[in-house]
Amino acid sequence: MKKRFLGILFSVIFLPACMGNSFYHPTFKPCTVENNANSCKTNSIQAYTSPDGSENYTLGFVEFDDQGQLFDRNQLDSLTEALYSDVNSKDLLLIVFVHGWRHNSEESDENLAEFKKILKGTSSLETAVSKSDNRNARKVVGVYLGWRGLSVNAPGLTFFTFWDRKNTAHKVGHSGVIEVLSKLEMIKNVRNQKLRDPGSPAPTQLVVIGHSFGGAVLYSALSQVLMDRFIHPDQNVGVDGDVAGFGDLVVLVNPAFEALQFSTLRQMSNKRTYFNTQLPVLAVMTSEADTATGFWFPFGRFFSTLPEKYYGDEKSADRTALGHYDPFITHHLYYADYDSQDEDPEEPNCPGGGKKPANKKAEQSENRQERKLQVESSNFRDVKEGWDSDQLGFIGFPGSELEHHLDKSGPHNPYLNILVDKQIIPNHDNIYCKRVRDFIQHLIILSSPRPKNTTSNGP
Amino acid sequence: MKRFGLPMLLILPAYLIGTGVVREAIPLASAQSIKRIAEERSQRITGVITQVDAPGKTVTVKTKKEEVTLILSDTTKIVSGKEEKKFSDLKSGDIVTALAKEENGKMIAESIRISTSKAPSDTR
Repeated sequence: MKKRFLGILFSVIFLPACMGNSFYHPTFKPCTVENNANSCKTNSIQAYTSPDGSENYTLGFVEFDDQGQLFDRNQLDSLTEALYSDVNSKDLLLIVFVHGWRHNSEESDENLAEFKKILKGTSSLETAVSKSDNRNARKVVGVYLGWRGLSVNAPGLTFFTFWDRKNTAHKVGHSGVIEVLSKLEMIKNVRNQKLRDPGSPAPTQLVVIGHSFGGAVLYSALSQVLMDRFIHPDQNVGVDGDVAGFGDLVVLVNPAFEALQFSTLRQMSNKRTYFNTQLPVLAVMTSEADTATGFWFPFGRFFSTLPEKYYGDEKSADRTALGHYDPFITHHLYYADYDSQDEDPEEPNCPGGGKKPANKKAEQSENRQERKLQVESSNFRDVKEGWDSDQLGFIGFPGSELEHHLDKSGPHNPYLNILVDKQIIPNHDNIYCKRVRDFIQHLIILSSPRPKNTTSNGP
Repeated sequence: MKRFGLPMLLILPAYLIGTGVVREAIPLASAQSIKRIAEERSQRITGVITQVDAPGKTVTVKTKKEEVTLILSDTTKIVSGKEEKKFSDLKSGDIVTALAKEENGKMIAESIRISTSKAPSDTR
């Protein structure tokens, strides 16, 4: 009787909360989103445009099942086909996003909504920078990689899926994701090496972003690739040239994997010095207020690593998430006020948000959109100058300041492990306040390969 | 003659854009307005402090390009990491980044951040 009661109780509480292994975008035809975003919600290729040009990007989806396999290979094929067609005539700024724990690729997902804001902001920044550089703006294309990060949808219960979803994240990373990423990198290489003038500025660029366990998905998929490209055994560039990463930049936000996994790459990267032409290849951003990776992650790792044997500091590195492991932290991102000419963030859920725009007078007297482009272009110049003078260790971003701890990694070291002020990222999930978006968007444009003749070559 | 009027109206702008006559003019205007925007904004000055003048409440910072003297006021925010600092904490040799605005030819510091790094690594 007691067993039957427990069985019924289990069914009542857990089964309705269980999220299926769903395929959210099974229509592979491209669809243009105009006024009603829901009109394209099952399409795996969505084009976003607005008459004023402020929203101009394409979003593609590739989805994986709980075993890390593609739901339908035709979804990937239709996306790559569309991208090959694009690169025949234009350069792309390809941004891949892997969502995290408690998220998926459903149209209503918050991670997806925020990724669209990044694409919109990057499109605007690309327009501003291309205009001031007197070149064509690249077309922004986002690719959202969906997996079953949300397996239970009930408040309080989702927490218990932390370790199970971590295992799935690594499974997804080791399985289908590397194929998708490699195919996207091939599209970039085909465009840059075969279809365009190699000397012209702003080639097609590939940036990969992972949040939370999406960071674990990416690092599982790419850690060996990053190490191989650091050493680059087939050429001498491991010593005499700039270090290559995967695509042009990998960004991991509040990633949930242990610092020990990064140890080899860190040791290798600190053994050499870098040319002034080196651009960032990996940026790990972790909020100091992220309790999921700061408290619960080491709590879980304590039990799962009990039988392990360690040498030296390995135990601590194996039980601490990368972004919280102090010996490996190379940068600190501090909160700063926006310049009076920047648009003030009106985001009630973000620290410092909810203020009124500071520059109302200017907005009334001048064309707002034109001014926005000019301010963005000026901001980007500050960021670029900061990176170019990395020997001094400071880069000013809009609304934040990045300090490089030069005693922990040398100037222009392309692997950045950044501890982020809780005023910028207040917790594990809220990673999309304007300051974070601004930081990531500027980092993306900063990592655009520069034509050889316009950069200072050598130390 | 009228027969050629309409085609010419269509062809001429296309020709001007194609040959770069118009294309060159647009970025020039943008570059000028960007310069103006930059002048109105706070400027970022990053470098090493070479001189601290306590009575005059100024610090001189050597940047990559030049030496800049910053005037501090009671409202200038001085921080290192997350700690608030005082004017007396600034010393020669400190690496700092400052935001300053030009007023009557003088640079007025709004904020100064002092580096927390112990010693810069060797630069190549």
